[in-house]
This record gives sequence, structure tokens and C-alpha cells, in this order.
Amino acid sequence: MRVLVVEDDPDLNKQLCEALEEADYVVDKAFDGEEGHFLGDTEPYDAVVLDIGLPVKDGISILEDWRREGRNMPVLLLTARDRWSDKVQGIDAGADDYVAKPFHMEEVLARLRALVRRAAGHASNAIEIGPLRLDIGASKVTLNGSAIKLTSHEYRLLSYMMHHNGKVISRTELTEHLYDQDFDRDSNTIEVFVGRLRKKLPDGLIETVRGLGYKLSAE
Amino acid sequence: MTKRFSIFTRIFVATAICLVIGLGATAWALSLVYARALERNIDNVIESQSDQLIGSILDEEEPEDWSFQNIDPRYQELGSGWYWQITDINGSPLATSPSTFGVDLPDLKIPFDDQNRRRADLRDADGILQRVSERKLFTQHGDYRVLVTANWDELNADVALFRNQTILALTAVGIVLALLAALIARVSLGPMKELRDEIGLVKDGKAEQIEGVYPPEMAPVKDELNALLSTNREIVRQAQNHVGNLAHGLKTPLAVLRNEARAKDEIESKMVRTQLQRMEEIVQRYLQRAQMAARSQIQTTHTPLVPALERLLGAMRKIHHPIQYHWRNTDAADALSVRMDSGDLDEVLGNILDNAGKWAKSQVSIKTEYNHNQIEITICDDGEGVPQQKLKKIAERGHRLDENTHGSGLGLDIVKELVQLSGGRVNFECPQDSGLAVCLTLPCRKR
Repeated sequence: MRVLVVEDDPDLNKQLCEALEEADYVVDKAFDGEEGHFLGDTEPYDAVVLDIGLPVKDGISILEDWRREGRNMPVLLLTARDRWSDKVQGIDAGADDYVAKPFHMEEVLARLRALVRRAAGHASNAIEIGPLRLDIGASKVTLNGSAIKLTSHEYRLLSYMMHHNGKVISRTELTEHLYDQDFDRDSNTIEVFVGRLRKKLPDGLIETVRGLGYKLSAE
Repeated sequence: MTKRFSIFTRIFVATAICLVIGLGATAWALSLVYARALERNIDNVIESQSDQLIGSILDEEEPEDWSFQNIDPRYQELGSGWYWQITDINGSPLATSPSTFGVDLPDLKIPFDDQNRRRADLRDADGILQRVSERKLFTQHGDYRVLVTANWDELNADVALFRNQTILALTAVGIVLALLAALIARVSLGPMKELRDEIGLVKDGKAEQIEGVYPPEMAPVKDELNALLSTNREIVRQAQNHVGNLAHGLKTPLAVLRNEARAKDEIESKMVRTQLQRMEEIVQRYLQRAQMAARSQIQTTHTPLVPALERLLGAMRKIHHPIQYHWRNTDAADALSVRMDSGDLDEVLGNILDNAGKWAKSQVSIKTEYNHNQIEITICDDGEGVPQQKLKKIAERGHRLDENTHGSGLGLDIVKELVQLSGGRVNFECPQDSGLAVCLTLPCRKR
């Protein structure tokens, strides 16, 4: 899952990025409103953590612009102003949730997980596909009840595919959502990780749809 | 501090003093004029009586032939104090008025003036004060002395009666004038009373500025007061903004420190976390105080309920997805405005709806009911509810029912304080078959 963090305070930005990376997200960061708006407008993120008080352009304006331009990734607002009138203004502008500063990092992670899950159309905190079960809160995958040992990259790939269960996912989409913006898009690492995952999962679970990409299938 | 009398009292007392002095002087002057007139009148009576008597003396040579006509009837009445007497030049009586019977007329014992007259005021043997006038008369057939008296006490009694009646009449006039003065003072001071009442409303937070229409003399005072009030409000607002900005500005560094402490060694970070917790509480408290102070200034605004509730429900459905928020709207609610600033209404409803969303299993129900200038809003979740013994504690300051969830525990405190400030009330109940029910009763009006 690829997440954008837009926060002008360098320390808080760093902490958020580190915590998100630790939770197996791929993170891009921006330090002002203009840069944040540009990244959100051009890159396909699974979620955005957006501060309201930003230099150059404030968070609410960025959010309104994104929504107007049809960018509908889930957005978690960070706000120092925690009055309900401020929160409702943020939600009305298109935010999906808010966290008031000063926050517990666990709260940001929990809310972000819920947003990503909801955006993919899953109501509960666990996604089950056949014998596979993804526990989003614990970042764990089990097969018939036993935990599968996955590397960070493998987990991200499988988690993304399970979030988008039944859908054909192109290599480009996977690259865009599993690597940050500096990643070399032409490399064939996706094929390598798909190959490794197939060895750890039952046969036929990851289908190759010729010319289009991959599909997770419980059939 | 010395006591200052009210303007009304000053005007009334000053007018009363002026009236007492003015009317007193009038009564005195009138009595004086009247007394003088009476005195002149008495002197005229004495003079004309003397002339009559002298006329009679001159008509006939012998005293026994004298006839006295056109005599004032008072000289007929026995012991009336009105006497006359004709004597020879040595004082032996030749004729007296009928009233003189048994009365010794006084001997003046003062010399006659160059017109052969003398005059004095004397008290007779009966104690009656008399004006006595005596004239010498020299004729061909003899010399005489003509003495005429007038009852001076009668004159004094007349003057006293006149004075008393004048005082009585002027007192009545004075009372009427004093009442008129009081009425004028009250009417003139009416606008000042209105201004005072309006200032009272501003002070009690029931009005924002002075609205009344005042006479031209007072209009500048009203404008100055309003300018002062708005400047004052602006200063307070700016100060509150500064406090708010300071508090909000501190929140980002606090967030950084908190997350940094989390990553450090457990023992080392425990103290840091405790101190951070304290700092966060202080920031939150002062932020709230600034907001409360802003609110306590003015409680006259009304906010339409339905748009506020619908907006909040939209936000809640998003935040607490997939929890369902069901609102049973009554017709009356559409036209209702709650006596609260819109930010405060958002805060009260937002906190309760958010709590309900956090604890609900699948749905939150909202019921609104209008009842005699009050709106009852019941927000009920289908969660596990709260045990009876914890219900009382629920709105205590900083009390949190579940220590495992995030939050400062201040949400319901804010709700309680804001609701009380608006003159409403909030109750927490836990019905058998549902979760927590929060019942708000808020003062409102129909648009």
C-alpha cells in the first residue's frame, strides 16, 4: 500500500513516515501544500495523511482540489483544531477521517488501516479469500489457520492483491502501489515477488491474466 | 465612599426646596401686602370716623345738640375695641360711642404733632390691641379733642387668617408642582433608565450592544458605549485567538515529542510521557477556558438545528462507517433554532454523536421532540451501555469510561458545560435493551 504524508513539521513528518514504513506501507512525503497537492494529483496513492495547517496551500484547499479533480483516495486529516465545526469542515471538504494533534501513532495507523480497507470495500478488519486470511490490524497472513512467513515486500504485494480481490491488477498498478516514486518502474521485481509468493501459497491462487496482469482467485 | 444620591432624588429635592422657598416667600409677601392694605383701610376708617365726628361738632355749637350719623356699626357694638370719644381740651368727655360704655379709653401721653394729631398702638384694659388716633379741634365756640380707636387685634386676626389660607392654598399648589416635578424628572430620566437596563443586559450577556433609540443629548453616549463595547470585544477576541493559536501551535511539537518518547527506552520515556501528558492537559484546559470565556460573553445567538444536525450526521456516517445513524425527524424540528452559537451546537452534538458511533454495534438512533420552547434530543446507541454505578461518573471532568481508547476524556465535560451555559440540561440513561442514551434538553425558539 502506498501512502502520501503531507506534514510541514520535519520531525513529525519523519516520525509518521517511519511508523508507516514500519507498518509495511510504502511512503512518499511532502512538506508543503503545493508539493503535497502535486503528488496527490499525479501519483496513485492508497491513502493520504494530510495536515491542515500547511505552508503555501492549506490542507482543506488541497483536499477540495483533489476531490474536484476526481481524486478519491481516502484522506486522513491531521488537525490541531479539534472543534467539531473544524472537523466537519474537513469532512465536508472530502476527508474520510481526522486525527487531532497531539495523537498516538497507533491511532493514526488504526484509522489509516480502516480507511484503506473501507476504500477497497471490506467491512471487517480481516479479509478472507478461500483458505487465506489477512489480519489487517496485526499485518499477518494465515493459510488454513497457520501463519505464513512473508518478507515485507511479499506481504505488501499479497495485502494489496487481497484488498483488491477478484480484480485484474496490472504490473504497472502493482509497481505504483508497492514502491515509492523514486523506484525504477522498468524493473522486473514484481514478477520475482509474484513467483516467490506462488511458492508459499496453494497452486492457482494467483492467476496470470495474459497481457493484463494478475488476479487473486479462490476458485 | 460617600453616598451619591440618584439624579431623580436630586431633581426632586432641589425642586422641592425651590418650591418651599418660593412659595414661602410668596405667602410672606402676600400676607405683608394684605396687612398693609388692611392697615391703610383701618387708618382710613379712623380718619373718616374722625372726620364724621368733627363734622358733627362743627354743625352744632352745643355738645348736647351734636348728632352722629353714618357711624360705622362697629362703634355701636359694646366692647368691640372700636371706640370714639369727644372731650374738651382738658380731656373731660363730652360724647362717646355706644361701644365705649364701661371702657376707660387710654390717655396717649405723647405730644400732638404740628397738625394737632397724635397716634399710638396700645393695649386696653381688656387686653385688646388698639390703634388710637387723637386730633385737636379749635372752633369758635370751643376747643375739643376727638379720639378714635380701631381694633388692631381684629386686623392681626384677619392677616393671620389670610396667611393661613394662603399657606394652605400654596401648600396645595406646592404639592401639585412637586408631583409634576417628579413626573417631569421621571419622564426626562426615562432614557437614562432605559440605557441603564440595556447596559445591564450587555453585562449579563443577553445583548451584544445597546440598541435603543435615544434623545439627541444621549445618542453620542450610546454610540461611544457601543464603540467601547466592540473595541473591548475585539481585544478579548484577539486575546482568545492568541491563546488558541498558542495552544494549537504547541500541539504539533507535543505530537512529535510523544512519538519520540514512544520510541525510546521504556524507563527513560515514562517520565517524558508523564510530563507530556501534563503539558497536553494544560494546553487543552487553557484552550477550553479561552473558548468558554468567549462563550460566556454572549448567549443571544440562535442556530437552526436541522442543518447543523444533518451536517454532523453526514460527517459521522463517514467517520464511523458502517454504523447507521437513524434520525426520526419531527415536523416541528425544521423550524427550530437552538439558543447556542453554531460552533457550540456542533461541539455538543458532535461529541455525543461521535461517542455513540464509537460504542455502537451497528446503529445510533436520534429522536428530536419539541416541547414548550425546548427541544429534547435523545441520542441512543445499540452498544453494551454503561453499568448503573458508572453512569453518575460519566460526565465528571476528565473521566473516561474506557481507558483503552484514545482521547482526553474531556468531550462530555464540554457537552455538560456548554449545555448548562445555554440554560439546558443533559441526562445519561441506560435503558434495558440498548446502549447509552444521552438526553439533551435545550432552550430553543421557532423561526
